[in-house]
Amino acid sequence: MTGAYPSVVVRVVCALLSPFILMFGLYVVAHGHYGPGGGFAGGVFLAVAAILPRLTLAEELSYRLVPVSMGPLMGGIGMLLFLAAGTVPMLFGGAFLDYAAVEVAAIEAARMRYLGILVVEVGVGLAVFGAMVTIFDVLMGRSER
Amino acid sequence: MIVPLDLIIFAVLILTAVLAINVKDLLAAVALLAAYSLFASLLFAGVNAVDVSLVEAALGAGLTGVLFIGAILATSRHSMARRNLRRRYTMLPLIGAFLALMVYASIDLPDRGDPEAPAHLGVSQTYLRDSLDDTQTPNVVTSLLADYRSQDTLGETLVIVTAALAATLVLIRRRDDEYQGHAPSRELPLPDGDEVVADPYADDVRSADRRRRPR
Amino acid sequence: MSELLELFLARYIYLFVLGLLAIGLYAVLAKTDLVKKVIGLTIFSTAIYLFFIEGSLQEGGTAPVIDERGSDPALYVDPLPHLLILTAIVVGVGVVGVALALLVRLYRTHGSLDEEVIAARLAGREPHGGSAGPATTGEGDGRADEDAGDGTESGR
Repeated sequence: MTGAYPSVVVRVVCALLSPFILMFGLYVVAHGHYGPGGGFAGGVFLAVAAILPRLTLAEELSYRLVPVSMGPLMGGIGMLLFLAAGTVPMLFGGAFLDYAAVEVAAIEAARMRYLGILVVEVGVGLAVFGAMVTIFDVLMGRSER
Repeated sequence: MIVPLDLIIFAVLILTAVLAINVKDLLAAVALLAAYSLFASLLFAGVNAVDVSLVEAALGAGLTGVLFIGAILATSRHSMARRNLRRRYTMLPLIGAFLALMVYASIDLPDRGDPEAPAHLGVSQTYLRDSLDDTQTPNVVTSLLADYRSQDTLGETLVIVTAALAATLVLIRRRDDEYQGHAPSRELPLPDGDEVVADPYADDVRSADRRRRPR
Repeated sequence: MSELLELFLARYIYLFVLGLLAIGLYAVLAKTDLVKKVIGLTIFSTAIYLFFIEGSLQEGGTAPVIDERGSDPALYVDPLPHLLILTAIVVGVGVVGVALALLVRLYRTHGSLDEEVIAARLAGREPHGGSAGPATTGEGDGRADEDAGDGTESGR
């Protein structure tokens, strides 16, 4: 299923489409505060942007763009980011995941929670991206040994 | 929420669901499943659940289909099941009983769109009232997801990453993978000394594995 | 008659959701093809998502994004079910991924995705009686697919 698709039209359209899907995914992750979206949906769009070249382009190209090791790596980084967002407030004496406890000069508590939400969304987005790409690679018979 | 549109979409949902489980060609079944998810996401958008609609459209109609098609191409495209009438007729009364139970349970549920429904009078009112002041986040679903109920989200994220790891562990090919599967039970003597029945498939599968393995 | 219509308009969500639940349950219980079972599982869980989300509806409420109208809870639909279902959808896809990985593994080991064939092979006996014909078809299918798979792989 992976590998270069025989039709030129499909290859060109998908190669053109993929960066735009990537950008839309980044937008959805970052825009979760103000509209529909957030980490889960954005992570899925990022994963689709990585999977589309694998379905249509030549393997050397698509697996160099997003290598197989990228999936587990990004999943782990996202998970660690989430856990860091949880533990940093504890260093300031707050509860687990209580962003308002972090004291930074000139940032009020509500703004801190806003930023905490952003960190968590990015972490969730990376974790979902990593997990989905990993599941896809594994089902396609491509996995790190 | 437009009732005639809802009715049409629900009819399409029922139709695609029935076709998806009855069609012989599995790729067609997966396409129907993606259509089913897409229409479900239309219904979500119709009742103002925009976040859910976005996720369902991206995941249910997009990525699930890709995963299914990948698995089908790695196995077999045609549904291998034979008609099993006996099984079907034993299951129908069970499903009927399930439906009767659910209808009985749904009698007490509130009417559709009832603002006085007990579920709406609980903690979510507080979330709606305070979200903007507490977190400067207009989208209440996001502030719920990542702030008020972030431990829930932490658990869910952990589940997804674990699912990816589990899928990897199930399918990973190692060097000593070749004789896993049948071999231990065939070569080790059974406790009660029985002869193990020769397995006509084993050689095929094993040679197929051997042919596939080098990359 | 109009009373009946009102009752239908107030409750029709439950009817349709129950119908979808029954279809999914039928696929899970009565189908022997494992891929069809996973498809039935997806149909079943989507019906449950529908049930939750329709329950979050409030007359006159809009999407739960606070705008210039202020933060009166009566203006917006209930956001809590949205959160629950949002995460449930993603976890559901994770579950489907693991299920498909298990199916591919089963197919590699047994050359079939028919539940009864696999059960018979695990029990150490051949599929009996009328199922002998389709079982051999399954085996043939498996071989053909392995060969096709080899072809694409050598083409890489």
